[in-house]
Amino acid sequence: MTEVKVTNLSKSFGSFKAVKNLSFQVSRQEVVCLLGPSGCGKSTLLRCIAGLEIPDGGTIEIGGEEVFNGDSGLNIPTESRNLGMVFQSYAIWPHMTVFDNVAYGLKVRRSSKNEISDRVQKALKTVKLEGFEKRFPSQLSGGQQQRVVLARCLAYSPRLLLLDEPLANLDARLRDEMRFELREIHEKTRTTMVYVTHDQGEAMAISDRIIVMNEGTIIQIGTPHQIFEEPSHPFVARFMGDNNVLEGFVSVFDSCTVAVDVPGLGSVRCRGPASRPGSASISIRSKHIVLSQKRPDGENTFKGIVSRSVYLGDSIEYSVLVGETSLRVKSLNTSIRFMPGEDVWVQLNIENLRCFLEGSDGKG
Amino acid sequence: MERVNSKNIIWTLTVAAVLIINVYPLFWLLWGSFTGPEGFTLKYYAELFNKADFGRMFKNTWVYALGSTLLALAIGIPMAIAVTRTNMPFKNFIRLGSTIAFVSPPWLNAMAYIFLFSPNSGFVNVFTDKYLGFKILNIYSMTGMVLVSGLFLYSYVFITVSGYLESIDSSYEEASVVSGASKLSTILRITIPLARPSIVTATIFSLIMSWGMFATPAILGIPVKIYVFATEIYMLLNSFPPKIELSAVVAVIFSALAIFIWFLSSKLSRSEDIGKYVTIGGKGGKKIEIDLGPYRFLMAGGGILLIFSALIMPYLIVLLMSLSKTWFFELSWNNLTLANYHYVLFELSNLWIYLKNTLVLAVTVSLGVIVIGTVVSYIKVRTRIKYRRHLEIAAMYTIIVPASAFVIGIIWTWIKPPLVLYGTLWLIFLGQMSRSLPFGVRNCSDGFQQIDVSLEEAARACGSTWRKIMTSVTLPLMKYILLGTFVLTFLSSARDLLTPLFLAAGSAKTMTLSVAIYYLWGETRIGESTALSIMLILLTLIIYLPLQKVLERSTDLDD
Ligand SMILES: Nc1ncnc2c1ncn2[C@@H]1O[C@H](COP(=O)(O)OP(=O)(O)O)[C@@H](O)[C@H]1O
Ligand SMILES: [Mg+2]
Repeated sequence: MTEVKVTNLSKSFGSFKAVKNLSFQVSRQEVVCLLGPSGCGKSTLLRCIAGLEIPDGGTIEIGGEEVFNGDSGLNIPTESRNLGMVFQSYAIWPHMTVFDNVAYGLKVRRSSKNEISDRVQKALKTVKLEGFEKRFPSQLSGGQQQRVVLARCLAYSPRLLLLDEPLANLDARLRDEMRFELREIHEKTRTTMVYVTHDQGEAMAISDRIIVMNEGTIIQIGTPHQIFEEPSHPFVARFMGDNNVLEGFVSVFDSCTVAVDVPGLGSVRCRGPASRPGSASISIRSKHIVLSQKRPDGENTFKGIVSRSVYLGDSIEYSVLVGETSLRVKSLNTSIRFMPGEDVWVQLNIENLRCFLEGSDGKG
Repeated sequence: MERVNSKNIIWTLTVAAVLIINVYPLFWLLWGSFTGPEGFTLKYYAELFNKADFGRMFKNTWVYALGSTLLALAIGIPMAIAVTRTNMPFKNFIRLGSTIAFVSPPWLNAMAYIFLFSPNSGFVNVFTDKYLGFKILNIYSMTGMVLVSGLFLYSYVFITVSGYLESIDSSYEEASVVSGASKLSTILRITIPLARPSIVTATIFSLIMSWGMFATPAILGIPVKIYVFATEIYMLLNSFPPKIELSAVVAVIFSALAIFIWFLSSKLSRSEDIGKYVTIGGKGGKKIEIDLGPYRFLMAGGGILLIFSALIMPYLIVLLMSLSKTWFFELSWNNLTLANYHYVLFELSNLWIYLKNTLVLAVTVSLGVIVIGTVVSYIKVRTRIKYRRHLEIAAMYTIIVPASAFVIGIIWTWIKPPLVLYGTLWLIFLGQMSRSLPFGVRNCSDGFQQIDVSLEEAARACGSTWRKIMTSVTLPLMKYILLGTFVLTFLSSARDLLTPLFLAAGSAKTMTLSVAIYYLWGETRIGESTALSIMLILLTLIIYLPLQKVLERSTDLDD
């Protein structure tokens, strides 16, 4: 069942188009991440759903009910959309105790005293903050403040929870911990969530589906596994980290393979049919590149020179210069270490290469 | 829909109030200076320029304003740097003393310095005449006026510059010290250039404030016929028949000059924000402390001497004057008396009216300023309403119009039908509102800017309406800023002499304590006048001190 339905949404600031004609849906009880580099319009999109920004056009439905329609001019104000929202800056009211912060949404909804206190207790229990009711926000740590904000939204059981980079202000260790807790909280409450982040690890850990955005448009929608393993666009491959993306053009093609000429590297053979020559990008994960001292058998072997070698304990990271192209290589075999200046052979296994042809809508 | 309407009604009323209080009088001021019975005319301008003493008055005004400003800068800037960036001892004492000096009645110092330096009976002059054979200073002179005004204006410079320095990070200076620069060159090359915007602002506003200052040049200058802009206007209004057209001309000339200078300075400091640094206070983390070595005691000595001569000594002297039988205090127990207080309390007719007027004005003006200030700055900071920038300018520009010029506009506006307010407290209320509104708008804007907008958005997302957000989130978070604004406006209204004096129309019904003090002084009833001054100070202290405690505690809580 669909909880959020965004259709052809756009939003400009002056002449700058922050969100360009976006459409997507979020199912009930689903956690969906909006993932993309900073400045790509994620927050703007989220704030449009919340009603804090008024879009220029398109429609937004929440729970089957239209809350915004650019054509008819319908715009249900934020306070009537029955949402919860978590801000990057927490936005805990400093002049209210934890109890009052969490109770706010219930008081606004004119719940009875007993109900308020029951629900506040329950929400605080969900976020593991029992016993903190009388504290003021300034007496809490960053992680605890984050929990208060979550409890504040959960207390009145909104139909949709919007989170804008909620973990960005926490230190790395706490952030990892909170990822799992957010997931746990979702297991308990089953609230539909739209979650904005620029951190791919966070998106992978938390979401059922990821929407990758760039420059105000959606690049790919899919499960974390799909996004990671089958990026549909070089941008996604690049953004999901750890990928080497090489630009070239198709020189030879047949029904099942293509040869892509990468300037400064050479010709690389990839899977995938191509119907015509044209530009193409190739991506390969750094852990999939194989280094060896002697020339290996098979296709796609290149001679290079190690320019950097960093020992990381469980792996070794190299930069290898092949012609003019620098490749990032991650070797899990720590028993052999190449040193800078050493000659190595590089093999790009055809099984691990993804090829994106220009002009075929990013689909490789 | 009901919600949208209530918002719109508040907006409309506020815009109307700002226009009536701040903009409308300017129009009538111009009207008054350019029209005669026969319509448009320049004859009053011609009359003024042909007046024999106009040139002298013009020159006096500049000498007085520039002299006071330079003195204030020479004292205020080094003290501000010493207090915010060095290890000088007694910082808090100097800071507190300067703040109190800034909110003290401006005529106090003039009275005290007359006691010390009046040519024939001044305490110091008599003393040096007797033992050294010469008199140090005749306080009834341009030098005396500059000295006394500078000793007041420094507090404004100090507060502006130190507040600014406190709000900016001292990592620039730390970087300079780390890279091996000496203390002095760090101060000269880093601190002073950093403080430049606030120094430019302090200079311009000191100039404009000294054009508006009335009490000091009136008490020290009028007896020896040294007229500056504000006293000239007063004389024109009080001549018979009142030369109200000429006073409008003088007011227009000086307003135009002030606005011109301000434009020039905003180009200099590249800041068009009217009165950007007029707020009092400012928060800061830990700041670098440049080690002054043994000079820190010298600096502290200077600071203590300054607080003594600008604040403590004048207060003590005025207290002594109020307690002495003869005009000028003699060092003997026999000379002490409470008669002046007895007179003021029990024989001065209308005391209770003056007191009531003072309090009514102070309370209503303070309330008016925080209400209008809150709405105007809310519109400015939080909405996208089309002409919000214009509204802000309309509410703030009076800060660059000399006080004594603007009251003339107010007289012109309300002296004739349809609405004659001349001679009522309303007129003084309107005058003080226009004077204090810029401070209110500035303080409240700072407040709204400090409150992250997501605090309000979070409340909306929780389902709260605009009204509920205002009362449950925004205004509670603003309460210390509102309280601080209330206190400052209250104090400046209670000690204001110029507005009630110019607008009271000489009627006891609209006189305030400050006007009564000025009239008593004019009648050479020194003891009674100083006794009433002391009572006014006590009154303000009773209100100020408890609130000051609350305000201090609130800034502790924030961190
Ligand atoms: N209120 C605004 N006025 C003007 N530009 C804005 C405003 N809000 C966001 N933008 C611009 O829109 C773009 C997208 O912003 P945002 O949605 O905050 O990005 P993200 O959250 O993905 O980092 C940015 O380039 C930003 O500068
Ligand atoms: Mg963002």
